[in-house]
Amino acid sequence: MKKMYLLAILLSLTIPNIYAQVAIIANKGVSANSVSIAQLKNLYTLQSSELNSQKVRLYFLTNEGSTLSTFLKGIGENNGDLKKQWLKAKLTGGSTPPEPVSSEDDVLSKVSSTAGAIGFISADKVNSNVKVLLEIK
Amino acid sequence: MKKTKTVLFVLIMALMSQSNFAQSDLQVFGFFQGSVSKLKGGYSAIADVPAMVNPTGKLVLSEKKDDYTNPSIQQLNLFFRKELNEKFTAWVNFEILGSYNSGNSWGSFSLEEAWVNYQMNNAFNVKAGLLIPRFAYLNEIKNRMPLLPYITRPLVYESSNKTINYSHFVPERAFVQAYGYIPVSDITFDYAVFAGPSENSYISGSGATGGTSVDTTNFKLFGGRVGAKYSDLRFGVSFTSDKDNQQATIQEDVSRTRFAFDLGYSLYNFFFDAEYIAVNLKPKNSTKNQNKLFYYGTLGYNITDDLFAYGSYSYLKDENDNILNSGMKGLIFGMGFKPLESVVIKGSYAAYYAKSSFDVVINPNIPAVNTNVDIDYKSYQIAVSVLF
Repeated sequence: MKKMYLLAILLSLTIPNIYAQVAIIANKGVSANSVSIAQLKNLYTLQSSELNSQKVRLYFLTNEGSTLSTFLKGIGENNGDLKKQWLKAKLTGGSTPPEPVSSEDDVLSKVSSTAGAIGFISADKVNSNVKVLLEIK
Repeated sequence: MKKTKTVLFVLIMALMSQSNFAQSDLQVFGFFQGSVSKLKGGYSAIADVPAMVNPTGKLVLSEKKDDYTNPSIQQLNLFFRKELNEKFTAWVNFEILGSYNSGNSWGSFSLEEAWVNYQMNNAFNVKAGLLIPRFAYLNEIKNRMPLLPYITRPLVYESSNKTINYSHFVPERAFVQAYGYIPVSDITFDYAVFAGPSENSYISGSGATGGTSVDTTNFKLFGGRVGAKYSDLRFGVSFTSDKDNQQATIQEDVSRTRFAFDLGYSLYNFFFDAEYIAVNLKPKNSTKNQNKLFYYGTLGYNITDDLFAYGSYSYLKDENDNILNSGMKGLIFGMGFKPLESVVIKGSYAAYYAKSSFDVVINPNIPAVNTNVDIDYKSYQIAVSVLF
């Protein structure tokens, strides 16, 4: 029985989490120090293009791993519906959809170097060049 | 209109010019949808006549049968977008229909939209120029084929169906619209109010002394929509007021109001869209009922992120039309597949049909005779929609 428990613990350490902890990061020039889930959802569904009256520029991680899954679960949207809303905005002259980025390192680089930028990456990749507005577990 | 041409000129100059404000690059993109349609069907108008007119008791007043397979570039749209600064955005939309070819007089080329948008904040924006007003849900995106599962759209939104004057049911254009989004907790409320020119029949065509595309009236279109979105549920209520040109028949500009309700919902992988539009006309010079009604419902299923199927039913009735006062029905079944984000391959079966009876005078020497009209068209279509 003890061996079974030990095996279970070892397996849980080696099997990757389906849902990683995700940090919503912003350029240090963004005036807001926090964002709610509702505000975040409104930004990424293009219902809103401002945070605390400041225009923001969004980045969206396209790599379909645990970071993206956790983010989508956190804001209560699925990838297909989000893309439909972005396509509608694009084809009707509405707000610019988030810029797609394929890797978390690129998200970090773009957010740290672009004024007004907001993106999301795995919490363990955050560095001192950006600020964290929210963590989603 | 002269005002539209002036705005368009200013917009194009603004799009192409340099300025001291922080501007984005000019974005040029678009889409086209090509299709192959097999159409089979026809219409007939057959009168019940006395034997002295025809021993069989029937007289064919009009009849047409169609059976053909037609490949075409159904539609192509080219968009130009530029953020002039943080508050102003310019947008131009050219539309080409029906394998446009000026040499062969095929299809059409038109300026669909040209507007500048001012955003004070999310709750208040103003668009001015030539724009598609926000009425119901499908009106604003009826020509955005990559967004739609359809090849043939629900009845009043399918402009290729020449039996229907769809401008009775939906407003086609506006010249100014104020709109905004107001999030309250998990619900986002949205509104739009707009003003536009009178319907096309009031707009001067070629040869007019005042020039073409001049709105020859002082009365205009006014309307709006209020809606809300909560999670996967979207709904809205719309309204317009304008006039219907009936000068040729009853010498009157008839007051017309439209009311619409739209609903959209998705649950698990199912999606549902529906609209109901009622058009009320109040003529002073006629007692005839001229009201109109349209509704549709579409139920679909996302089999995967890239594969979907749907069925749609639509119904239309026009009390002021001998053929449509008994109702026209439309049925569509279709599927779509996205091999790439920017490409959708669609297939569909569409049918629309109407039956009506009314009296027609075929000879001044005999009483009016009952005439039966039968419209029945079916089409099988395959299309590819490409974003570029």
